[in-house]
Amino acid sequence: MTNNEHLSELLERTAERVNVGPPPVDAMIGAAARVRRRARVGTVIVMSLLLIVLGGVAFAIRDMPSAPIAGEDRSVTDLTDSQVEISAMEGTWDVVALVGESGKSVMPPELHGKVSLTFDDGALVGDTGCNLIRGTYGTEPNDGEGLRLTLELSSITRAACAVEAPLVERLGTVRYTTVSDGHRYLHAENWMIVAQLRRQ
Amino acid sequence: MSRNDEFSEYVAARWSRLVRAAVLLGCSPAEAEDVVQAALMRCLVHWRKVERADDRDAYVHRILVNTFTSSRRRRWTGEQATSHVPETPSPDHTVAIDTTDAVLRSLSRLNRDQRTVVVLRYYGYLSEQQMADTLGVATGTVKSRLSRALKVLADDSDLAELRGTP
Repeated sequence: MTNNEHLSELLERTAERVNVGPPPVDAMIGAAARVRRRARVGTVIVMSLLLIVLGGVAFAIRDMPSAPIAGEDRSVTDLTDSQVEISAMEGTWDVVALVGESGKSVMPPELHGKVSLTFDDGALVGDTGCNLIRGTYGTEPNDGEGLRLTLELSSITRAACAVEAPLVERLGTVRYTTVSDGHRYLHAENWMIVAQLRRQ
Repeated sequence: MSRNDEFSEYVAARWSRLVRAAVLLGCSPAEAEDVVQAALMRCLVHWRKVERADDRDAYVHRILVNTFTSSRRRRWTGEQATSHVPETPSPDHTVAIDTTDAVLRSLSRLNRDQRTVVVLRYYGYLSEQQMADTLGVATGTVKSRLSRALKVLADDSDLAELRGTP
């Protein structure tokens, strides 16, 4: 018998002296079932937390302002609110209402539905249906609401109708412009509404 | 056959041997049953892995050794292996050297790694490769641990008497 075989025999003889009770199979099966159940509950909790975190991250990314990429054409969504208002100002607008300092309409009845203002790349053209008013306009961002608007009237045709004096007088007081409910408003220095415009 | 049936069959066949292996690893008989029960429960939780294992016994031994190591780590203030076996209520005075006590004393002179490879090799009958897989070490490490362990046992006077050599 080799030393290794002898060692095995000694270990066997030693082990045989150990009294072993019956295996608690049912207890082990029950305990394993509980462990598996706890593991499943843990997995569900972890997955739920993961979904909540991922949802939060998705919302955060959605609300995050997107940075412009160098060299990429800027789309409309990249423009600031002021730039949107500037570009939205371009075009021809009907003058729906013209308000005097008293707060009452000063639009002559004969001009209703006939007066329009066209803003085109710095050039302003007012059409009363009888005479044309020409001038320039400029905008710049305002610290608060809307845009600061500067109107400079340079000429007016002198047809015999001569009913546009209130319009010319009121346009001279315009200092700001805002947009609300699809209408553009022109405001005086004290933010009183001077004119209400509607895009043609 | 369901998983629980397979498990029950396996436990019925291996329970005694696994408990005795745990005793040889250094557990008291009562502690050995607890350790083996915990190890087998872990096996049942992951029974698919046991089924897929190339060598089911080697896999279970691996879980047993890990559970035993964890229990020793956790219970560092608990029972410690000792070379002095406490007196039993009914000691066998008629035998000069009790085989069991002598073997357990000899095993306790090995460090834990050496004791584990001796038990796995000469009681579990695992090959060196199986032991390497079980312990998660290289085959060379198993060989060196086994070699050192056998050298310690060869110099052990208690075992020498059992072998009939002075």
